[in-house]
Amino acid sequence: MKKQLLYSLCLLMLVAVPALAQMPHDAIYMPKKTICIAGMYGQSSWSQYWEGTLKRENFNIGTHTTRSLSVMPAIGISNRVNVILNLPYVWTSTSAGNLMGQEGFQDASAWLKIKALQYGGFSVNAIVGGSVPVSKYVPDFLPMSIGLQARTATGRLLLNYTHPSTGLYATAHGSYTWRSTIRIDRDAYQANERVYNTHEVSVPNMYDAAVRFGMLRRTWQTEVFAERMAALSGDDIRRNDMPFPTNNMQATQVGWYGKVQPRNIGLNARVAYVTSGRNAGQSTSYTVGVLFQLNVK
Amino acid sequence: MRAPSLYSTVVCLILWLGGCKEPVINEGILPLTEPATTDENGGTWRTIILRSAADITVPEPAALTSDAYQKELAEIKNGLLGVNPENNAAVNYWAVGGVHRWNQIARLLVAKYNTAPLYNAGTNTFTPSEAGNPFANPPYAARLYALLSVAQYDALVVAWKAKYQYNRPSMVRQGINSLIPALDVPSYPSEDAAVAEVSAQMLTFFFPKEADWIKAKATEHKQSRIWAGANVTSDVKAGEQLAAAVAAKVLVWARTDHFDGAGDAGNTWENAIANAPYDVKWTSLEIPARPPMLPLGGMVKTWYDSTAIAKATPGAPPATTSAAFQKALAEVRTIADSRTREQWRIADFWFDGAGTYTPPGHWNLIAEDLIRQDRQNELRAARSYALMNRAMQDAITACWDTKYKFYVPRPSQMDPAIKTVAGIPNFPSYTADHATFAASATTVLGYLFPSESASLNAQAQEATLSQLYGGIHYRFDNEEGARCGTSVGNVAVDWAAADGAK
Repeated sequence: MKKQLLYSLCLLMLVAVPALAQMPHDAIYMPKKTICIAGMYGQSSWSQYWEGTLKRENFNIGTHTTRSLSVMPAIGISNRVNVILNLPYVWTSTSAGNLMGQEGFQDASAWLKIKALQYGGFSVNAIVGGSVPVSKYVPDFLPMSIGLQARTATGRLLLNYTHPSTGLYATAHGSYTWRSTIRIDRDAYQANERVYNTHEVSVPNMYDAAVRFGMLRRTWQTEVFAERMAALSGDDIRRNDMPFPTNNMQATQVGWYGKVQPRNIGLNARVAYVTSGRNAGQSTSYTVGVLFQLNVK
Repeated sequence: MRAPSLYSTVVCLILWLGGCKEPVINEGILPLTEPATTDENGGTWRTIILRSAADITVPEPAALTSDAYQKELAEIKNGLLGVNPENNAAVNYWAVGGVHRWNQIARLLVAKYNTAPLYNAGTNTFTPSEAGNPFANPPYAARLYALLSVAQYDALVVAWKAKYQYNRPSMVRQGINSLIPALDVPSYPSEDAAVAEVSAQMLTFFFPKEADWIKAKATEHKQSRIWAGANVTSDVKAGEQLAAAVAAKVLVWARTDHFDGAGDAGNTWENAIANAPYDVKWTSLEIPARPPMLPLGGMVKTWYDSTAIAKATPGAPPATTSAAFQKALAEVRTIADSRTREQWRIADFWFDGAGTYTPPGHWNLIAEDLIRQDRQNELRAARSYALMNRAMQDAITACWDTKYKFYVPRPSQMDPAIKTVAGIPNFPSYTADHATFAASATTVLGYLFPSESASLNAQAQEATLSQLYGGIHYRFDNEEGARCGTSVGNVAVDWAAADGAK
């Protein structure tokens, strides 16, 4: 046991291995018995948002900022089956007004990623995931809430073609996410042009879809992407009212992702910008992360 | 590798299909129960706007033996055979109680119209979120609930007087099995038709843009009694007519209660604030600053004895330089800095801010449960709502009078580091409206439902503390608000003790 640990540590320090830090939305797999732990910091801000379809600003919020710090281990069960875990700590704040900023551990998520089919450079990947809230944060204090308190389950199909010699790739994926109902502190609320006399709130299910183009080499990766996520039902924020978990939130964003991992320690970075949306902020976001790869023999 | 890939594909597929169904929110089904009492002397109960039930004449109905009535009865009997599922749904919906249903409809409309006016940067002005929309804020809502239940109550006293004057037997006594448990009171005039008509007229007064929607509801309500086999057409007609006459009189009150002037179109508040007897003056914490809500809301005509209410109005709060004030401010700050989840829950539960039916709406929801448990008939239910809602409106009038006498700053104005659980209401701090509503409502409800007084007191205490927990109010705002609310509630209890209902 001790020997194994020592061996792992040696690997960690000295040995250059192919760097393969990966996400629930790519076709990259950790080899069997390797773990990559990513520690990431993200920041996302908006000063304009869509109230329904109307784009507006709000002087009593100013600029709204969400910060997050997350730990995300990816574990190679086999060369074609990976498990990815994630736990973020989230802070919200505004530059104006009196609304109390919120912070706390948000939702823990787990993903199982399976390479179902491979034919040359082409692969079909099936991904299932789920998340559960891990603290009692307030879900209906939007836009300050750090999350919606819904449990989720996601099914995702991901297609990838990687050119074997150059590493140029194209990825397309689509997902469906089921979201549970939630309970709020209040015993009545207005949504869908009704007053519901209950604590229970329906959070609409959603889909997402994305295309990615990039190049994946042995020690680095660069990618541009376009992503779209949207609720499949839900209502709009009413004129000059606050958002609510029943809202039909939608956003389309474009961005760039890059990674450098010459050895078992690497860095990644991501920037994204929301180009259009509904019941959502027009946010600009960036994420930077440190990657840490170890082999478990 | 085969097995997991197949497995995952299946899981994906199940998720894909299973996810297509959105969960349905289950609010439970409201029970249909037969009311506990018939209140035969209801026609003698003290009316509110009318001098007495005799103010409105209900014409004598056709005799039981007349061809006209026999034809109506036959129609009901035949109609019962042809009731379709849609009619049946309407019958069951309204059978929960017309007074309850119209109170729920009022809460829905208040929530819908409870959005703050918009700021227009170009012209530096504020306008309603949509042209012609009222802003259903808490004082507006308190007045609406009061006027609605007062009109319902007076109309029902008139209906009850005519019922026992003419004694047209209920359908059950004429061998008709109605679809729902109906109260065994004389059927002419229909109490449901009276409630439908008077409620529709009152709500249309507040929300003229909703006239068609409201009218459709009222038509369905009246018709549901015929579908149910609980009333004949002439019962419904008579109920409708007496209600129209009552509504006309209540609307005269509504047009002259000085609420229209409460918005202070002439901006007299700017002068008043300069002369206010308090050492630091309130300023709007909105960006940009906006004029305070309803500066002349304290001038509104009261329902109960205005002298008694004036006596209940609180005195001066501690000056900002006093140790008492500094201690109160420090307490708000300490709570805001270390707010527990439970304190947050209490603040959130009772805040009833923008987009909700407001705090008086919350107390109407609480009253609805108590009235249902007590199996009160329409007349008694309207009395309970009218007693409580008048108390809440009078109490908030006294509260508003105090707010615009002293113009006490919000805690966050005195200490900008105090962050809140909700947007800070745009009016002065002292006294607290939530505490005032809670105390006035629970004093009346405690009188009407003495077995519930322990839980009502606990609710009142929580509601009163909620705004301190939320960072919105000082403890002395709450305490003085609650004291004033209790006094006004007691004035209402005196009225209730002498209105003939027992």
